[in-house]
Amino acid sequence: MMRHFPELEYAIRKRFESDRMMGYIWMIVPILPLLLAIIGAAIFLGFILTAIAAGISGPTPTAPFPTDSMAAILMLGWIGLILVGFIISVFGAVALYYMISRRNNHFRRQRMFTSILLPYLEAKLKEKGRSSNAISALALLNRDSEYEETERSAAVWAVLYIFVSPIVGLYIFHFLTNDLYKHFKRQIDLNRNFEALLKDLEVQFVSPAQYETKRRETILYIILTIITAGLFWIYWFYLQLKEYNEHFKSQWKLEDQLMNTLRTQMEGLPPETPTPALLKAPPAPSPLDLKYCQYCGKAILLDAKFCDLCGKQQPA
Amino acid sequence: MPNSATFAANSNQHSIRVHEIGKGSHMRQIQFIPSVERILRDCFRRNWTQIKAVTAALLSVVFISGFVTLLAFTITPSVISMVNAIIRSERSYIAIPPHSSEALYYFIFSNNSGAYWNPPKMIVWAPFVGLFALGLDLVLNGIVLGAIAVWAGVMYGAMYPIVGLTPHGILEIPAFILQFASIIVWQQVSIKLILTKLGGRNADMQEFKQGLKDTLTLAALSISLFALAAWIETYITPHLLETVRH
Repeated sequence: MMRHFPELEYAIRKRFESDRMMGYIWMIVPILPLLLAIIGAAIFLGFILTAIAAGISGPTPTAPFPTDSMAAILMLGWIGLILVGFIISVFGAVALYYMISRRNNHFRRQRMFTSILLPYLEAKLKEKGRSSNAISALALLNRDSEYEETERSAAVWAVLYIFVSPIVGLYIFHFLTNDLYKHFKRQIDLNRNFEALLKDLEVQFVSPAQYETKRRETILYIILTIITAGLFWIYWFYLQLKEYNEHFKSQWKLEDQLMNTLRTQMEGLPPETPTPALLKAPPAPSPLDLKYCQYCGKAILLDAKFCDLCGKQQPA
Repeated sequence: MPNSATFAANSNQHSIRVHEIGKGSHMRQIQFIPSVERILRDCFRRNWTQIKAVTAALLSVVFISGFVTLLAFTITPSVISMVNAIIRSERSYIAIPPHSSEALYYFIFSNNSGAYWNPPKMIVWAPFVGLFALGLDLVLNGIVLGAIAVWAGVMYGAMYPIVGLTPHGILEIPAFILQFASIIVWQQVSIKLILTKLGGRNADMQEFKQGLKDTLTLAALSISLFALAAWIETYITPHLLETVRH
């Protein structure tokens, strides 16, 4: 077995940490502010209407409540509104933090996986005395992803969201939507080139149908969110949860199929059926099996060639 | 060289063609209908997201508003008489023409179709800034529609809002939706053009022109629907409401 193969398996194991599936319970984040706004408006309207009704019912206008307690109610209501607004913003910030970090982690893991798979297949080509044009295309695509799929600081954006929620929230959704679409298109190109490369190695492999991430006009989505007083954001939020989850699932399926093909047709190992055992989360590594990245200081496995955090190659 | 039979067939075809062209306006009409249908179908396909989003948002606001109004009426029934007083006082400010009159038709039609063509409301066409005015208008329209439907139901029975709103509403609400969608399309293409120009990139003028065409198509369709809805509201709805009252 070539030394790259266990590294490939390691890159796949990392998906349990990087590709976080977010449940639809997170939909509470866009729905809660709307519900509270409706309840708040109804209470405010009821309060005003009761005051007016009490005022017009008698021969002389009277206030429905003593003036002092009215002032206290209004003040308490105002403080309560600010508090509830802050709590909702914090909820939203947590959701956005997870959304941005899963984007970062998935893109990084993908690069790591391709960076390990490429030299592995290159070595196999050399071993068989063959060549393939797909190698340079794949290297170019991987370099392109390093340049395009830059890290976004999840913490900074989450904190900013607490203070300037609507504008920052819309911008975050704008880049999350566009980045996933570009990543998907690049992924399709990578798959096509991997197929060509494996064909040159006389390996039968057809990548499974990928979940299609559609191109979405984010300007239109921002406009619709503003015009519908935030109602459209509920739908956009749902799309964000769904599309990343579906992309991860479809990516996992592809990786499992690819790994099974490499196991059986390249390494001469038995296939992992019905689904690879890798689908189970691996046990946490012992501290003795760890080393630290020379560039960013992140704890990584002793035999890892690339850092999980910064993606840089580790010296032998 | 063609024989006599072929010549006869050819001349026959020629005469048919000449005859068809001679039909003039009728033929043009036949060609015009499919092209209008094609233009509308393409326009709807391109802007389906906008239409769907506005529909969902408007219906949600109408539903929420209706629910809140019903809740308010149930908790404090004295509010109903207050709303009656407000509606009565509003009627004394606006001179609504008499039922089933031409003046009422023009009043309703110009009020609906010209909603965004009068100077204070033309702000909705201003890129980006207009979005907030348009959003506010959509929410207010939804709130008024939901509240009025519930108020009418409470005052005159459940059949009253159904008979009073459905016949013209079935055209008027889609017309409102198309009107909103047309402004959204305009906002979308104009904001995109401005952002592209600000970013120093080359703007896709073809896309901008297409957006402009779609804006006009949707606006024209909404005006046609408003014309029909106003006719129904003027000449049919009052008779239906009379029937329900008796």
